[in-house]
Amino acid sequence: MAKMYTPDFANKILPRRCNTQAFALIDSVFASILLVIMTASLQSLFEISRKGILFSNGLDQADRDIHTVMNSIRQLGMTYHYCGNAGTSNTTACNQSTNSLLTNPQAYYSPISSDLNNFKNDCNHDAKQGINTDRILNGGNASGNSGVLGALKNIQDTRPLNVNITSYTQDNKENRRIKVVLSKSVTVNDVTRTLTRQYYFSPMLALWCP
Amino acid sequence: MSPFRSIHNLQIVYLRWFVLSNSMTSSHRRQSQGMAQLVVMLLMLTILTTSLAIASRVTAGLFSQTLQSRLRLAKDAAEYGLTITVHELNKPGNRLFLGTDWTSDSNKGWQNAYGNGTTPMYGSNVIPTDANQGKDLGRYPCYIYADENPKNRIYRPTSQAANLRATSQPLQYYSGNSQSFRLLSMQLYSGDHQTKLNMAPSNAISYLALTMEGTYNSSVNSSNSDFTSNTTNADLSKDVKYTIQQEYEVIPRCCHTSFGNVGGISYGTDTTSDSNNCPWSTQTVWMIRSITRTANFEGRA
Repeated sequence: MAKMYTPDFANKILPRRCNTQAFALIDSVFASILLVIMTASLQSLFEISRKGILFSNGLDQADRDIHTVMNSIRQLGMTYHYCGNAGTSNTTACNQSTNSLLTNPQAYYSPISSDLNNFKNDCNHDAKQGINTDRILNGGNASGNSGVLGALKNIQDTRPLNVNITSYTQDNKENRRIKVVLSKSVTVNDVTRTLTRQYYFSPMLALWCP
Repeated sequence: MSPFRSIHNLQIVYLRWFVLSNSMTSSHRRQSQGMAQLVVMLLMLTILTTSLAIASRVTAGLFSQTLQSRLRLAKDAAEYGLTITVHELNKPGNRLFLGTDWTSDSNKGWQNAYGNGTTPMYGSNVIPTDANQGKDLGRYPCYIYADENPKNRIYRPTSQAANLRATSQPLQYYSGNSQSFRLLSMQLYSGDHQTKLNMAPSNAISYLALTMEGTYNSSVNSSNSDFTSNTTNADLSKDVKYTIQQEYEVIPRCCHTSFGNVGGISYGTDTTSDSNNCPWSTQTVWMIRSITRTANFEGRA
């Protein structure tokens, strides 16, 4: 009767049968070294991947945060209109209903007839001495704390989602176009990277100027 | 199980083997040589394959995430391009372009109207005297700012606007931050959104469709100033592009006025403005106002 073959690894699992077959010494030493190297390599591979994913996720989230703030600024440009000799984005300060932007955008931006001349005069006072002097953008207050400029300053001060408005400057005087530079820093494992995005916009109201 | 624990177990197995092997014959020893190594090698090969698969998946995920981020930058660039092009045509000096047939004289209609920079398209460069301001303004350029003293500002047309329809190869403008844009096409349509027009009418609104391509290229020096031509040695294989098509409402109105009457329909509260019958013999101008449709988003890398 032929002797039944016993695989070598069975000796490891069933020690009581180790007396028939076993590892060579060099096998164990070599296998141990390889396993240690393999384990260390795997650990570093996963660590590198984990850091890469964390960093990439951080950057992606920062980019999305910046775009969220951009959308707020876009919305600001859409909702800003002219009420009582000064621009405002607060619709409750006007006689126009809050939903008129959707139902009647034309009436939403058009200054009421009695205010039209004031509006035209304000249009004539563009940014002769800096962006704050533009009466359409500054809402009638050259301090830069009201109108579109005031709203931008507010976003700059409050830093929603930790997004910085690095600067907002006059990009084109005739169209009252503003260039806004936004940034957000991401730090992962003591490495910091700053994302910078720029956004051009002018309030829709500016189109109503002669 | 931690790697150290594994090594410890292997050491125990080795010691057990060392004690027991003293009773083994040399033939038994030869029979076992290489078998454990083969098993370990197979095991490691499996682990290596699995690791490579995981690494490959992770790398693909990271690449996809980077591409998404760059596509957003390319989309931003396309949006800048649309904003800047619309604003260029809305500049006070350029508001006659849309009412000028661009196809005339072998598609040089706008360039001729611009007069190669020597003749203002408004026909006159004379600023009316105080006594004449408010009278017969049709004789004078369509100056916009009438409230300042002295009244000495006339906005002339810009070559950027005049060249929008003239060049066979669209110009690429860099806006900094490794982003650029170029206008791929521009087409006017009548009120039905279908009939193509060469010039906007003065008694009805029309629609302007713009197709803009935005590009992000990480190899372009981000310190480039705004609106320079492409003089950099950009690696075009790193281009990430995004194309947007938008349609805008074009509304005629009179020089010096806000939006008013167009073809019997009110588009604003300025009752002095009737786009087809302007007061003081002033000219009709065309303003691009709101976005009516956005379509054909396309991203590619």
